[in-house]
Amino acid sequence: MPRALITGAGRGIGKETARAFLGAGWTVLALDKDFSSFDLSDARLERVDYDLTQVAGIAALVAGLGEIDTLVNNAGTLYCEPYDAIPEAHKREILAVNLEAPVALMQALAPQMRKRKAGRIVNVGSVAAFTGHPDLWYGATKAALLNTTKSCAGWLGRDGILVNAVAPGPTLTPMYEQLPQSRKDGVMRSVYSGRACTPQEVAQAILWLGSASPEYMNGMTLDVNNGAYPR
Amino acid sequence: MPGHRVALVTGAARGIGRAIVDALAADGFHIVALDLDFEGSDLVESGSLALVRYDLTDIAGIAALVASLGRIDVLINNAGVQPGLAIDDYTEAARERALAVNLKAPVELIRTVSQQMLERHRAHPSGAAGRIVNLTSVAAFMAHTDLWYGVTKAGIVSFTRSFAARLGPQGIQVNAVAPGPIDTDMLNKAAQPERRAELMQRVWSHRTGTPQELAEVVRWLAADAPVILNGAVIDVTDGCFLR
Repeated sequence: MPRALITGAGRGIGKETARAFLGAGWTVLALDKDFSSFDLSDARLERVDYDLTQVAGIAALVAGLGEIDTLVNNAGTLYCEPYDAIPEAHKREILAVNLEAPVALMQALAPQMRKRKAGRIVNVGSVAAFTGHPDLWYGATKAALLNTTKSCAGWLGRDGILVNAVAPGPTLTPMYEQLPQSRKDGVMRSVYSGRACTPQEVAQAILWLGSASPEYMNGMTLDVNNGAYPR
Repeated sequence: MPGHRVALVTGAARGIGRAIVDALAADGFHIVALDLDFEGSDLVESGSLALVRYDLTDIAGIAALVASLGRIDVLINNAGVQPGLAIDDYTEAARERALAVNLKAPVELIRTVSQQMLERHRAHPSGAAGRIVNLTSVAAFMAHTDLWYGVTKAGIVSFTRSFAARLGPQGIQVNAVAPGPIDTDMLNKAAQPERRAELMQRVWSHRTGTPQELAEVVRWLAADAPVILNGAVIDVTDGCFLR
């Protein structure tokens, strides 16, 4: 039975992604530092309690998790503070969780995936990577994560490992509630459907990339933004 | 209302279109397979597969053609031609043919097929009104030795967005797929050797993609992709072009 490691699985897109993989028959390792709003339970579900700001500990963590067929780098954080008043600690946290941790997870999983000549990685970017964002470091790390997706696909692609990304537009999650109203209004003006994305819809796209999309599709970013940014 | 979904696939006789027919049929679709000719194609008409011979350079006849086909839930604009000519060698006929088959025909097909999709939306606002998938190419994004091929493929990206904006509010999805080098007659016969070599150099796996791989992406967009996914262009290039 294939096994998926999903970060930020405690809520939002990560939780729905965990639900989608469970529904498709996978075993799911749900990683988060906070499971207070996590209401999934299944015999094939394991919780991994870990704070991804602890980047240095990721290699040891992964060593204890066994075989992982698919990694979903979903965990992300933002604050939306004024550009000229961003606390150093928040910048550090965003860089660690949104960028350094996903890279460390890919590096830690690469040896076992290369040995098996198989494996899939799905990075959760954001339309913010293209448009800029009220949280400067959030936008910057999401753009960097999409770049990293290409680099790692080139690094691992010859060994049959797929590294792709999704770039959702604003999605109805707890993180969405943190956005300034002006950004929510801007999104509603630009999307074709007049509504935000649901976390279930992003999860459907992640499940496909993480389990069934064809191998020739590698290093790509799947836009799930409904016209918010037709790149 | 029939119990099965119907897909119209253009350029269905061979190559990527042929593989799309198989992928959609395996997903339960009934297929209307359209092509200029079915010579050498192994497609055989059946209760779930209709073969339609039509020359897509005849733009004026498309409305009547579509009216004769009945219900269409999914439109796959796959037909395309690549004259493979350098700009100074282009004849007016070759240029007009590329513009007609690659650009004008899919626009006219979307315009006419979407009318019945919009009627379905008005009758059942919460139901699935229809899905459209357009085949473009990495040629849309890069310099191309076949100038008019590149122009028409870039045009497909543009009208994918235009129709997604126009039809998306009524629940119709219009997306596109942009393949890199795929193992088809078009790549093997039409594409200039130097271009082919240049593309293959950048591909991580050092192989061409298969029509079946392309067909799976098209099938996903036509059947499974979440409704919010609209106006997107999915690159299937294995590194040969990273947007």
